[in-house]
Amino acid sequence: MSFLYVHIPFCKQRCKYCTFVSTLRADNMDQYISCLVAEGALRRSQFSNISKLDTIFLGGGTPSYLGAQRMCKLLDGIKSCWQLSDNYELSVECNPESVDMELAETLVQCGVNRVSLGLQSSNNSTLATIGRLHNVQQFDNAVGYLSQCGITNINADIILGLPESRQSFFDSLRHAVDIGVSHLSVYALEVHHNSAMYKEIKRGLYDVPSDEDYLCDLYDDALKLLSKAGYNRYEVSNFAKEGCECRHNLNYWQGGEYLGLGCAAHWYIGGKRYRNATNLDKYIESVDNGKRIEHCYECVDNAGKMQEKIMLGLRLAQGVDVEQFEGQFGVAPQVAFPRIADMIAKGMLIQANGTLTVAPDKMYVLNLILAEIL
Amino acid sequence: MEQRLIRNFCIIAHIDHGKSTLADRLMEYTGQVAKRDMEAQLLDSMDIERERGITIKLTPVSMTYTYNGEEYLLNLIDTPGHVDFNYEVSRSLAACEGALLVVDASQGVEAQTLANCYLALENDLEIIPVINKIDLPSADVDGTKAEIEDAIGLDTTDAPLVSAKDGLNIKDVLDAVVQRVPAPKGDVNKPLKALIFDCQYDNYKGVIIFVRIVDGSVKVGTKIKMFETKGKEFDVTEVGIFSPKMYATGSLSAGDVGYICASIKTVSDTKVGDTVTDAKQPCDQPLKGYKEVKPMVFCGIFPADGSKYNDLKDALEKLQLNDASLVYEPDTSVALGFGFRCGFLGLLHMEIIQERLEREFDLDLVTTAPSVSYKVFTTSGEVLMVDNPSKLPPVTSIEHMEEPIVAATVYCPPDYVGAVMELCQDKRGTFVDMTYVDTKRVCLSYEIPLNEIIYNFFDNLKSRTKGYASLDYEIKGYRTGKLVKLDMLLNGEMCDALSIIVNEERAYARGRQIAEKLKEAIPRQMFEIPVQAAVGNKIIARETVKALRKDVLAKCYGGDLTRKKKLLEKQKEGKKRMRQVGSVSVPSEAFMSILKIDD
Repeated sequence: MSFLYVHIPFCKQRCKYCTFVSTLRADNMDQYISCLVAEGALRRSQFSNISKLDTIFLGGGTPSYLGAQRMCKLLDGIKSCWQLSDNYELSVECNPESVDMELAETLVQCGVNRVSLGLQSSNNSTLATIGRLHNVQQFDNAVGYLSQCGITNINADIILGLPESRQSFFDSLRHAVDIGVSHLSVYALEVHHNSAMYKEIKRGLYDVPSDEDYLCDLYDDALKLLSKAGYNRYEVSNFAKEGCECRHNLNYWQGGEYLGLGCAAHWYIGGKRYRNATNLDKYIESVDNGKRIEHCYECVDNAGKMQEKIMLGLRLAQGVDVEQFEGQFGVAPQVAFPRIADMIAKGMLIQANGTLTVAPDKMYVLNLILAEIL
Repeated sequence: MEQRLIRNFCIIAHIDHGKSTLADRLMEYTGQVAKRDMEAQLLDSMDIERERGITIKLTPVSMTYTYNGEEYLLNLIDTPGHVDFNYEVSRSLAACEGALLVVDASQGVEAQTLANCYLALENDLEIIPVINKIDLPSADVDGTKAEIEDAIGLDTTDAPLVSAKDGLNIKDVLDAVVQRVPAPKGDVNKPLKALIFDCQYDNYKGVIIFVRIVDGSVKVGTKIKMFETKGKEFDVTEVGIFSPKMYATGSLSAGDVGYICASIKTVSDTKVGDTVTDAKQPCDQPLKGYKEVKPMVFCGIFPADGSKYNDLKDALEKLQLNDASLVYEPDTSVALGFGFRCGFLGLLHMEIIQERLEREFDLDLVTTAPSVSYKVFTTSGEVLMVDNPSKLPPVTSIEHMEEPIVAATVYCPPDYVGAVMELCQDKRGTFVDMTYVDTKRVCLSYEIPLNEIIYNFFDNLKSRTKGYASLDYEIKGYRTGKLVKLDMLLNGEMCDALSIIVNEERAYARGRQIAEKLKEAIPRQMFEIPVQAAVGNKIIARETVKALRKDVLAKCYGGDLTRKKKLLEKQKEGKKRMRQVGSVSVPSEAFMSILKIDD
């Protein structure tokens, strides 16, 4: 199985909470796309055993900001490097305001079968505060265009803990449920020190809820609401209707390897983690001049792989497959990490049916459990 | 140097009255230190001293001064000004014939100055009053003179009027020292007899002893011995004076103040107050030495990292060499592991020692709540001294307990009398007397349990009087008190390091405060943690540290993994630094936070 992540660093406007690698420039999009395709060809020959991709994920930034034509050129370019497997998943992240009928049609024509929409909130004033360009009507329209074109596997991102009321947060969840998305990512807000939001909070423009209990209640109630509506929590922050789990992301959590294209893209292959040049100009320059684009920043040994398997696997509702773990490492999880037994005894972890999982009500204190066992 | 040309003197002053600044000026004037080398307040050689503007350790210095065509050797021994360090003062005094009494012309005589002055008079020292800070607009020279005459009975007619800050009239002080301080009266021809007034440890030279030579002489090669640590003899490898850094002179004789190195490797081979003599030709009688000081305040000191126990032990050993008033013995705590129970002269002393351990020896410490020494009368007729709450016998075998009471003297401006009285009352004080020293100052006398004094009394006093009040206290005796042991329970398990002995009436309030503090200081964990305060079997307060509900990283995709691993490592590190009390992880700060209770 093979997985590819493609990073599109362009944004029309930067969201206040965002610290990802992105740029407001738009003059070099075409050049960038050529570079992505060139890098694709390079990787294809470098890793010749990977000929077919099972999933492709276009993330950003704002991939939809590329527009229909460039999107088409990019996806065609990638497909010229690799074949897609029969049952592939091709996801594209879109901002609601940049999805129109033309883009929706193009996406379908290019084989996109999953779209992730950044709704964040259904409250227009919250959206304005956090620097989003869309309103809730535009989100509804986007979902409409996509479904009309046949893309029904749609995710909505919603942020928990925004500067808004509890009511607003649940309205957003219900809005997404009612419009019929198949997948929801509910991320707790993290205010990073280098974000615009951090500065605005410091200046007293608004405040975000920080009370642990309040936020946990939001999460617990969201979990209830969504499971009642037929969405399973298959990962800490991800909820999906049966069969609509994001396979590309599942691979991360199962400790799988993946390729990456584009500036700031991470990739993990042969037990090594790489990061491409984070600066857009530097990335383009490196590709154009045949210089090294990536640098390897971590070599994961066997012990590290075991740790990651547990660390990531426990984020999933399906947990860690004990037999598969033993097959891969030649040792059972409880033998590699003896404290697991204690956590099972304390009811934090559950071992049943050949899997090791976190007790459903302890999912949100996963780090505490990991700090104990690893 | 002939004895008639030597003057040994010290300076007595209240904190902030300018003692160290005056010492600096004297050194500067006599050319001991070039101005460019002056670091403000040279004698305060410890960082803590300079930072806090206080003198803790006495530091000697030798200066030469020409008067009427003759060159004199002036040995100055600095003295600390804080109430906790009376002990150090008496050490300085024993090595001197005279004292400068420095009084701030804008503040007048303070309680502590009086106490030290009486000590000096007891030691038959010639006291020369010096009026300082005459440059200040608020200076009242005549008033200050009158006060010195009234309160101490010293003639102030010839008192030098100086401004140490501006270097005004410093010569008058030096002249007065030569004219009025008597020359030492030792006999150079008698066998060596020298008083050890301080020690220091040097990694290369071993123990360096600071001495005042009373009779005889000592030079490189002399075989010496100490009276109290009998048997051991040492060959002198270096002798010298302080100028103010150590300066080898080859020999010292009667009347001199200086240092001796004799390859003394073991800290316990020397004792401050002991007498040094010639091993081949010893003197008959040792000098009187010092009154043994009794520690008043006790606390447990533990290494934050259990494996640093031996480092802490070494550090305490070296500090004690240089501060004999520090006492300690090994202690163990279920919660904190191996450490030491330490005794101090007072709260400031305790803080200073903790700070020196952390700074000079680079140790991370966990300290327990300060305690005093209680007299416990058992039902079997025994009397025990208990300074560690965890050593208190079971309630059923205690007949009654007594606590130390101090006679406290507070000087303050009349405006603050109400505030001071209220504080003393709050602290279970018994009013004794109130007198007006003059129109500007009132002297209040109270009897207060010492265990109330050690809980922020001094800080409280300062804040309630905008810093104007001064405090002096001495142990008056023991008095029966209704005392109980207050225990803290974490998840039902008693944490020995958090127990304190308190007055019964105080137990409820203090138990509640400590429980609240602990609730703040203990991080949320896997399970809910009840934090309870108990007296005997009775729970008197309860707080709850709720179970942790959220710590997971919301997003974790390819690029987040490294960050996540780092977070996890940090979390594990943090956990390692915590102490385990039963199933509860308690951070070091939690033990310390209960020290900061204000009531």
